Amino acid sequence: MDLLKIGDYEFNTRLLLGTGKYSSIDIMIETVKAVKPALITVALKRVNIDNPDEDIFIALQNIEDIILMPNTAGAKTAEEAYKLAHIGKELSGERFVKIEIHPDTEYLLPDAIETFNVCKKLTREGFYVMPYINADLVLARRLEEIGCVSVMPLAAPIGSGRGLLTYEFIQMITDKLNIPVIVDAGLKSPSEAAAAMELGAAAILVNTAVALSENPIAMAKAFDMAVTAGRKAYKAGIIDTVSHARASSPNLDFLL
Amino acid sequence: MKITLKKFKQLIEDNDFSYLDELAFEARLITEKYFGKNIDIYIPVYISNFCTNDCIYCNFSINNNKIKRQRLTLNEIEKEFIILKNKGFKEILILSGGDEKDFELVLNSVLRAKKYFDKIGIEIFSCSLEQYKKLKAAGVAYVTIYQECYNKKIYNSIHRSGNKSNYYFRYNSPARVLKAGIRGIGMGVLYGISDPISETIALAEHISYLRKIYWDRDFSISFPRIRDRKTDYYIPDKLLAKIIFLFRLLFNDITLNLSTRESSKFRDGMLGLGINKISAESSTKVGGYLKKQSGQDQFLISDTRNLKAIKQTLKNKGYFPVLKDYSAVFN
Repeated sequence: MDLLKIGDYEFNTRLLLGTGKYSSIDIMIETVKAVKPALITVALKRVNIDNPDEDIFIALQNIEDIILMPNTAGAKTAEEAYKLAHIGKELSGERFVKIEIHPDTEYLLPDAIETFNVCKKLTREGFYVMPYINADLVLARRLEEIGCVSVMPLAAPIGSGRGLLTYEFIQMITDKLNIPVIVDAGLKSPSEAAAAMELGAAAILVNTAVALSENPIAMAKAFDMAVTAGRKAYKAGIIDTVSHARASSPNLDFLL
Repeated sequence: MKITLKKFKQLIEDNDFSYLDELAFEARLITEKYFGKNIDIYIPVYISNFCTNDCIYCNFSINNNKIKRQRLTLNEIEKEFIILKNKGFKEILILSGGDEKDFELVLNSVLRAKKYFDKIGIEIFSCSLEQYKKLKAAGVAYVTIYQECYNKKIYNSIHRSGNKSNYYFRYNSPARVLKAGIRGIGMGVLYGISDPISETIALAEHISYLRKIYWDRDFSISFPRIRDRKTDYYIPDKLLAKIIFLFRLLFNDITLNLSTRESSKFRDGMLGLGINKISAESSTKVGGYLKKQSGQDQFLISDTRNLKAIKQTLKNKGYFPVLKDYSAVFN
């Protein structure tokens, strides 16, 4: 079995889902049930347990066999993310936390400095920390060194649907890191998820492309299949690219 | 689609409504991309209508002798908070008149409100930097402060007394709010008192400038327009809609808010077409939720639907009513 291993957890799927932007809780729940993702991330700022009928967190907790990964979206500093991580742990009872710190609302790009600082603190406290980062190899390595269980580099800005803009940088990260690299944010279509998996990503997290699709359930299934296809291709061994036809290789008879 | 400030100016000045449907289409795409199907909901709470300003467009004006002046006690304010919390609200906007003596009451209201709500905004008179710092420390998430009118000549002619009579002190309020470290700023002009085109451009320039400095804050725009009295510059629905579409294309990510001052027809129509936040079940009376009958509205509410009805409308239109999209941790 080709299992996804994060911390001491094993998953038989490599698709992770977000829960924002859906038109209703019902559609979000049906989508989650349809693909049973490895982890489901929920923004803690949206959790509204005072109004259980309208709370996405409570609705998700009622689904069997899924693990919730609270995220710190909305946080602009390490301190805010730290506090949210602890609230998330209380609520979910899990060690997983997805660190998202984006002070700039326009592109929602992650703040590398604040992210690193909070990850350092949380890993020491035993959290399974999964930071959302720019596709930055050095930062990814630093985060691996301090004990993050995964890194989540972006394909493109959150929600932008611009696809794998960071292709070559994702390749560097997947080549060099020992922890699972989960490509997060910016994907538009399943083919891009497959491409990221072919680069050696361990998994994909997708939200907008599914939630805003005309048929989220069908789109989630399509992503699930693409992720599987990409993974199988990666495992099978993808041929190297050559810039010329084989037949035109130089004649090396003189070496004989 | 994202347009530049230069393009924004061109399109707002062209007086052409033939491409309104294309703007609406783009505005919807962008709103959906940034906010998904979410529409945020909040409610205003008026705690005092004492005022030292003489704004000609406002029922709280010091010159209005017909209005009964009221200032709620902290206990009355808390009772209102409990009513609103029980209805399901998680975000409130605390409002006062223009009397600076109410600062302590506002500050204490914010401290009380923290017991019941995650996100607390205030809309009061223009404050000093020190006062904004106190409000920040108390837990204010955002301050709404409208310039009302960027045209200095008109501004001065309709704000002749009180805190509001100093144009530049008013103009620099958003900068002081942000300098004080407050996370969010709500801005706007009051449509109806000056030329809407130049006012819209001035507002866009003001926000663009502030965003360059305070890039890590949450900006929002509201679109109040005078509807309950005759004005020289009344703007029709089509123009207001065009302004909102263009703001969405200029500032893709910032919150655009439409209050109950507007009709249910206009509000429902504008949902998702730029607009991503609305108020619901509002009273602009001091003590309005305690059902004190003696007060007077600051302005007339047009959309009088309750929260339940608003939520149902949103759901029917394929939107997700979001009462909480904030954490008290951010304060």
